[in-house]
Amino acid sequence: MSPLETYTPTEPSTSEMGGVYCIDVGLFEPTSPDQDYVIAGTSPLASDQWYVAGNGDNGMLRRRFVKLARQWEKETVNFSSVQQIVLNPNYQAIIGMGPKVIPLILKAMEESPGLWFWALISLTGEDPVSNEMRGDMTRMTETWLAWGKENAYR
Amino acid sequence: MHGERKMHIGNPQEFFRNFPNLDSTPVSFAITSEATGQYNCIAWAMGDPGRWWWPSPVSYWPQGCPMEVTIHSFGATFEALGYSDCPDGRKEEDFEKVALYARGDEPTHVARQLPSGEWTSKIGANVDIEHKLEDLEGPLYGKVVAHFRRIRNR
Repeated sequence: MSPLETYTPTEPSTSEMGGVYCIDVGLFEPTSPDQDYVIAGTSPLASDQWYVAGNGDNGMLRRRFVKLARQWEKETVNFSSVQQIVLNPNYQAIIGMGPKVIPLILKAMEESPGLWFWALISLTGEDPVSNEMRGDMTRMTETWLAWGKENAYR
Repeated sequence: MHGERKMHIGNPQEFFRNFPNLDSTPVSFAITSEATGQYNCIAWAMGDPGRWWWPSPVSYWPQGCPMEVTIHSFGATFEALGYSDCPDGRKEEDFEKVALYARGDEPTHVARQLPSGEWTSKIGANVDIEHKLEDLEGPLYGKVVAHFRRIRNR
């Protein structure tokens, strides 16, 4: 894999942020043909695992997903309304990418819970979450991750 | 009213763009938690910081309460939870109050009054803050459109 460039944000330092949505980081253009975009920071989308990328369809898919997901997080971090959050154009664009993004969504959820449930229901036509779990982000996420494993998405 | 805390707003540029009334000197609000996506404003206002409350298929909403995202349906939900509407957000010793923000007829946010008379809010998936009601009025949450109160538990 090509050497990675990392981004050190100026103030405030994202490294001091513990929140799920604390992303104030850069998305870098590749500096060589076989290097993918690199993100850094404390976002669930900024972990080392997201660095592993490359050319080809999978790299392009991941790159587009990360870009849209980060923009979605940025634009909706202060919203409480589920409708406003899921109707954000970036979120809708991710749904529009089709079922091939399901593993990427599950991976993002694995790193940190987020309101991905609506997208998963739209993409899979299923909802493994029981009524008594609704709103409990941790349990809903665990349930979807288990569903992903059972259905060979993880 | 506010001591310094070592806590950080997630995505501060977006935060102050969404809430221009908070972008003042001297700073008039206090950050009282780290950012988290585990709960939202109305969950915090109702004393349930373990769930995301909102009328939607992927979040918690009290059973039997209307699922519409309208001022009227939120009012009906507050009534079901023991609140009644009241004319304003002035501090009353024996009551706890909540304030509903909306843009047009669409609720966007709920704040809860503290015994001190100040207000506390969870900002979406971002931080909790103590603030004045008008601080959060603006392009994202619109305006305070209703107040509700119930007898304070001692």
